[in-house]
Amino acid sequence: MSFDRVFKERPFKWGNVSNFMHFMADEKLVSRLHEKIGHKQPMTDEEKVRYFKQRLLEEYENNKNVKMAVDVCVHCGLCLPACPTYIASGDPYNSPVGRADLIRAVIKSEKISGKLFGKAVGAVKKIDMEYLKKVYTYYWLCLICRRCGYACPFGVDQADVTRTVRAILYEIGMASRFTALTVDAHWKSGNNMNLTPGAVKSIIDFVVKEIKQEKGVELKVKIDEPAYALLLPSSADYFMNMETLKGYLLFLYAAGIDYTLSTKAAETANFGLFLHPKHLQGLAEKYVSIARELGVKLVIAGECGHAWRAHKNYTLPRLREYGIELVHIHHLVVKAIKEGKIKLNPEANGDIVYMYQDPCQYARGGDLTEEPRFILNHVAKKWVDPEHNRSWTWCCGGQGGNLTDEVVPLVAQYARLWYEEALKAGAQWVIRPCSICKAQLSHVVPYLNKWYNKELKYSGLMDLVYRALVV
Amino acid sequence: MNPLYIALYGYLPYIVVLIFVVGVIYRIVMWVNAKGLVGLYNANVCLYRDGWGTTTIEVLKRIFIFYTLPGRDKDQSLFIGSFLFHWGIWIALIGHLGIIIPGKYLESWFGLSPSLHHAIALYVGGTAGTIALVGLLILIIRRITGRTVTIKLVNEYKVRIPLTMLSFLDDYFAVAILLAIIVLGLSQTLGITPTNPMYIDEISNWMWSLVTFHPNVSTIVADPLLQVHALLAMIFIAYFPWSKMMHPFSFLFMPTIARPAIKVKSP
Repeated sequence: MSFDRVFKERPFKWGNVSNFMHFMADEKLVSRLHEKIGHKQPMTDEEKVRYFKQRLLEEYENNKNVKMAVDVCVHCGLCLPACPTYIASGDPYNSPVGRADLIRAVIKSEKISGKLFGKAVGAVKKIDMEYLKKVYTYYWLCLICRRCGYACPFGVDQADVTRTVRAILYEIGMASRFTALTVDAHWKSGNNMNLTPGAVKSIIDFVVKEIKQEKGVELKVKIDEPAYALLLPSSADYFMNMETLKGYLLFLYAAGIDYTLSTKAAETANFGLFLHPKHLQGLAEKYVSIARELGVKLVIAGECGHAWRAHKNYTLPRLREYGIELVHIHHLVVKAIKEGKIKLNPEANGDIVYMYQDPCQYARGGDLTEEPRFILNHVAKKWVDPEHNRSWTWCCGGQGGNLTDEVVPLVAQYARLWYEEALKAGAQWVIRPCSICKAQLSHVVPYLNKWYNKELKYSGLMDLVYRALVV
Repeated sequence: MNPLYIALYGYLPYIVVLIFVVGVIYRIVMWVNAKGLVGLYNANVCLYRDGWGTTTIEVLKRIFIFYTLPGRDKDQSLFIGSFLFHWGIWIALIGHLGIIIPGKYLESWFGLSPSLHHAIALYVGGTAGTIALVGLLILIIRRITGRTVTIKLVNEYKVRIPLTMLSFLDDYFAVAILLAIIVLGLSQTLGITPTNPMYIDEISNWMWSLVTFHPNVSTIVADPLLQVHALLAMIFIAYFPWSKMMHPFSFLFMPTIARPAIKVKSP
């Protein structure tokens, strides 16, 4: 199978996963990205260490999430049995409190208590590039799934600390190659997959033909034209999740919504979320300016968890400044069903037992858990909820930049949790309406099916809507 | 009288209260002043909580009923220990009002007779102290021994919580001093018997003298247990604002809990 070589080169060892350090982006790539956000990185190792400490203390003073996380955590350990990375790896550093302590040690070392009592209060004596590599390793293995934040009685969101620490590491030139390449592609081409405008148009032509063959209707899809709404599919939907893409197009046709696609934004993702706030902001601003250029009143986000988090919490407030609203495609499907605008036939999705598994960022920070279930009630005959549902959903294992090839043997372990959840309930097909989930599943499901001797399948939710739509 | 007594029990309490008040305000101001948010926005840790009403209820539920602690995949000892400890401490703290105000004022202001006051102190205070002690012991034991939580899927995942590895001097200092304060306080409370009815008044005369800014430590000179209890309590109160003990106040300022989420408006 595709990742056999990685499994050999990087074997998973229970209790110590430090061998799964993400490959680092090279200097050229990091410099190009730094230019985008107007950052000049420190050069020597000594300068980098000093810069890291100084920026960490700055964030501790000025960033409410970080300050309160460090100040408030009482080491109760409740986040440990909530964290999929720890449950599946047994490595204490690969856990929320373990990661937090790696940087609390740095902050403590600069405080009076740390200077007086040193290691006894958790302060670290020597901070050098080796130490920063350890920080880098474990902070990039965090899934940013936010399960720890929901478990913490105080709401300490270690995922936010992760993002802050990653941002500082990036500023000194330490960034995961996969995420850096993805962000770079997004800046250059407007999407993660480097799709050209010509490719977008050809794929849409192809999809429209398929829809005609399968559903008997000929769609006219606007591309880069003024419309009421701008649809943002994931770039992966253009060639990996075509059924999902067909679902968007046919649904919008059936619901009578005037929309356009944009070749400048053949994407809904925002990997800036995993790398640096300024990249998150910059990429989100691209969406805002394209929506304004096209004169739309509504932006429709496609199926993608992290993108929805970035859109709901950052892009939406920015769009509102220009009188533009933003919704998820699922919101529109629910509305259309309630208003009787579309006809759905659940028989079309057969007698399969589906399981709905919430993508992390819909259920933790996205307020999007009931809408997909409402839709499933109308498009599937049989579906079940996992025991760990909604805010307690398991991450697919590929979030937070962990879709990268070199960590597949580890993230396949993370994925056991949701996979076993499906097996336990007797589900045959898992619905995960998220582009990262689907990509991660394409990596790990072949292995999981082999290990458990099962034939579990997966897809997005709009795939089922597509099949169920009567037009 | 030994000037050390006067300094420790006549003047130190004022300094301690000042440190506490200034410290708590300082820490809260620091939290409020830290205006930056990760990723330039805020994301809630609650589902569909996009109004101030639901947000307030969430904060109160977390503070008073610890509702996020029990449940599947959780270490139940944390909920039991925390619930008992905190409620025991809160009731005991409220009970301390009864030894700040002298008996004669309690009777004339609130109609609380000395016998009823003693009974409440003994039975309610004693129960609260015991509950707090049991709760704290549970928390200490789990911190020292660590815990294992089993997550049952197709396989069982035994998740070790290595609390010793994640505990430091400040964690142990806080629980050790609290344990000493509770044990000493409880032993005094349980010593309030009908044969020793003046016990409460001895303390309240000292406390009231502090409240009225006329410190008089003579009534507690012969009570070493109380002196140690009070001294440890003063150390703890002064330590409180500079430590993780500030955690109860955090609920009001934690960006992930105390702010309503952004609402999506379907057209």
